[in-house]
Amino acid sequence: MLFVGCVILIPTIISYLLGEEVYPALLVSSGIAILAGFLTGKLLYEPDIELRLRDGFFIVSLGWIMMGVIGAIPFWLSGEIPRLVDAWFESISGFTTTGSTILEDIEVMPKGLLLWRSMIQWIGGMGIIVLSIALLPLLGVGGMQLFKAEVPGPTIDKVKPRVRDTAITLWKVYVLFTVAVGVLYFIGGMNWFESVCHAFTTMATGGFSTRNASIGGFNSSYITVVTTIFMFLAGMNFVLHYRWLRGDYRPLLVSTEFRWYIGITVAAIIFVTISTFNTTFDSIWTALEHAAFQVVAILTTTGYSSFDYQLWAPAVQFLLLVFMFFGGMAGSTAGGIKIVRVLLLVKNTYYEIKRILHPKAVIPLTLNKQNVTQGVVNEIMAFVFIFVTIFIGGTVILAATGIDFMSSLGATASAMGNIGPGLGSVGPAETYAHLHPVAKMTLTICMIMGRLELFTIMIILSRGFWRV
Amino acid sequence: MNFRAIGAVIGFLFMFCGIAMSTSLPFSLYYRSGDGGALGITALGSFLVGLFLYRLFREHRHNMKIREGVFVVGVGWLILSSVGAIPFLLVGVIDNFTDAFFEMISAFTTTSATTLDSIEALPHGLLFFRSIAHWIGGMGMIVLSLAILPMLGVGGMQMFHAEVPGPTHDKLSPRIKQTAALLWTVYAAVSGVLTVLLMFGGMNLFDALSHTFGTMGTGGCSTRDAGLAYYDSEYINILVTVFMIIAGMNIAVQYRILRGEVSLLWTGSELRFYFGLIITVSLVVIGYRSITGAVLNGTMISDSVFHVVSVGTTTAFANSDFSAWGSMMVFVFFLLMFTGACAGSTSGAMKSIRILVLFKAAFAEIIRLVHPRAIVPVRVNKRALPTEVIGRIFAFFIIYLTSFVLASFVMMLLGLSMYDAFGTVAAMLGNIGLGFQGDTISSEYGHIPMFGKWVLAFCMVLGRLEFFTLLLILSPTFWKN
Repeated sequence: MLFVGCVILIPTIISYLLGEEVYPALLVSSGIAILAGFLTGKLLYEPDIELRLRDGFFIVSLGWIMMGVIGAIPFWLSGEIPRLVDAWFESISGFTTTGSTILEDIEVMPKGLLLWRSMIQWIGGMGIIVLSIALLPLLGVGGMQLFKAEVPGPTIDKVKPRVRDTAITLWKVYVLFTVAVGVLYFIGGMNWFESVCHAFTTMATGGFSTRNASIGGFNSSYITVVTTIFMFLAGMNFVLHYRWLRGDYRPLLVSTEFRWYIGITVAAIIFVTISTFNTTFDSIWTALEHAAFQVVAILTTTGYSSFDYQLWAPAVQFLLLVFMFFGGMAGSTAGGIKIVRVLLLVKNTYYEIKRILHPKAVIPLTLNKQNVTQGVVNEIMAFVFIFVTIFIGGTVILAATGIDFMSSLGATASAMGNIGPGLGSVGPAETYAHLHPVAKMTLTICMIMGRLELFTIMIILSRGFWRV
Repeated sequence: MNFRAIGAVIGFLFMFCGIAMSTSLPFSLYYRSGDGGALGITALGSFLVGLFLYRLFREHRHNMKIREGVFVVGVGWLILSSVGAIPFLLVGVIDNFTDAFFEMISAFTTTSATTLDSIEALPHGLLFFRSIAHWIGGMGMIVLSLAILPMLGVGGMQMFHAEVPGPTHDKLSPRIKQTAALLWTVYAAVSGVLTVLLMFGGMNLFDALSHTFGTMGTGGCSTRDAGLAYYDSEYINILVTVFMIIAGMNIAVQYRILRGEVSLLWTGSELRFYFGLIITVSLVVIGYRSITGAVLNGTMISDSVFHVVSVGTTTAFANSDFSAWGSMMVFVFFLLMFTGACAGSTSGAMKSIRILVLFKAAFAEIIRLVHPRAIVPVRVNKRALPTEVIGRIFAFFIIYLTSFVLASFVMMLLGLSMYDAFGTVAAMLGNIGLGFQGDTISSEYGHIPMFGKWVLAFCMVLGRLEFFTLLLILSPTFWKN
């Protein structure tokens, strides 16, 4: 809380410097956040308390919701987003790095708020790195215990110090990349403000832009290519980044997940390029540029757009829809099911056939030459099942509010995977403004569930959690 | 692989196909529909080929093992459909093999998708053959799901291994033969009852038999383009609804209920889930329709229940068009296409038991996360399931989803819209037949390009054989000794 309060001060100052009228709103929100954080800290702080598993789940889930509330305050107080539901939607969409917006016209928004909006995503991204690299493997959510050994930092059994050290190490990498992409944007002709905003949302795989037409609004191949590359990097496991930055290329080369990530991306880019060349684009290079951009933007769950993919063939749109479920690598800022789970499922299905033929043989599943137990595989499959179930539930609710079939499907998939644009009436050229408030609330719940890898939320809902 | 044993069984299949086809001859002659010659020749030919093969390999017929069984199951569907396609071509109502094959494979897999604009235009003999093919497909499914799949352990079906009535021999064929004979008797008896009841409702023998076949095979074929709506009879609609529910029950359970174990109706985990699902979804549909403006009366209620049961048991009679009920209803019915009725019934799709286990296992996973050291069993019928079985069921779910995604993708490459492709592929994989086509819901697929029809035919068999059986045959490991 204290942290968020201080962070809001940054856009406040900038807003003040730019002479905009929204700075009081930001200042007040910052004050509220600092005060609230200070009070809770003071009241509940007991230095020696040891965090237990359950508390971990609880803090993470609650933290995200609180952040969402605080993030919404500036939008609402400033009067730029008059309805609370909308402000909440925008804020949650930010903190979960989704990037869905209810703003019809982004360009008229005050700069202070736009910066805040981008910053929310960047902070969300920081949270996710801690969550996915430090917390989830320790808690063993959805098979993520596979990554337990990979987490850098000292291996202390207590959760708190370990998480802190890991987080700080990886945040350094995150900041480094953000600065790098910001500088590259600036060189490419964005002004400093837009460079900063886009740097924030690129590395967080968020997708908020300061332009109505998103990255497409810059009309610059350079910016498109830079964004594509950095989105791809943001979709990689940050532990891998940390390793190769320190000169250790081995994990990069042996990681099966990384090979699949590259393979899937390249295959999809080739397919989309071929299918859009001659139909939508005259030049193969333009086709390649937009294909690569869109594929990476969706696969890494960033959700920027350089071109309205609704104009492309159904098969291409479907591919992108499927990618919304895939997401980037585990341990990145991307959402979705994650490549590693997908690849283990594919492998397991293949082995299942062998197992039927040889009922008595033991055919173990391996990842990076490590055995994966049946228990872990079941956990991953349960994860996917719950993911799909929640997706279905969300779609039913959306359809019940009167939205058509494909739009409901697209909006929910997009929210679950933290992408941003969906299909139909919530496609990349549209916004979420016209949805029914119930639909908006449903989508924010989907975003949080998707972001926190489902289980965190589900646990709070399960009766067993409250029993001591 | 013992091809001689396979030859014997395939010979038997040919003979069987010939006999089945000849049952439509009386109707052809009675209605003077002019297709008697074609049907007769094909039936005779098929019977003779079968007899020849059977005589040749007769002494090997007991050497069947699991591998041979799987192969026969896969190839059997193709053989029956290919032979069945011949009379359609001979009579000339369908002018190419693809369409005729599609027609028959959809019948034998109890899907009842068609390429014809109007089935009423078919001569009576062929129409009857098309209907009885659904019923025979249902018989095949009973053997498959109660004798072969539990043995293979496809998608967790080994949990039914013990439940199947009949003697437990180690060899495949005697066991299958006796189990099948027992359960086919039940199947035939229930079908007989339905036929008589339908005739009370004013149908003639021909229509009553055809609709019985469509109902009991959970195929949904009709002799009318308008489906059951043609008869405009509340009695028939309710009667068919009830029998669809029965057809969706595990036939082994039907057998035990008939023998007096009525309490199974409310004690079995799967049945409870199955009934619960039908009731819940029906209530949702009725509720949603009454909120959105439909008048709440008896017709509306029975109509809603009819549709829920019809799609939920993967029967799908073409009656009224549920696409007019709003996008939420379309989505609900779309989901129903994936659930299916009970395992061991003639219905297709995922089956209630699997969905039940999926939910229970997912919930257990969540509990396990909070209490990492706790042992959380997943129970079905008061027995805890082993981890491997749960793994198999999850794997089944994943492969269902994957097949759906891949097939939809191919259909979109062939030019279908995303919505149509979703609806069509879901209808084929679940052996429903009734799919989305633009603004309407229809089981007529004449407009699909030729390659697309083969893809859909593949989907029907894939879904019918519970995915792994067909994938098994297609995998290189299967052919290695």
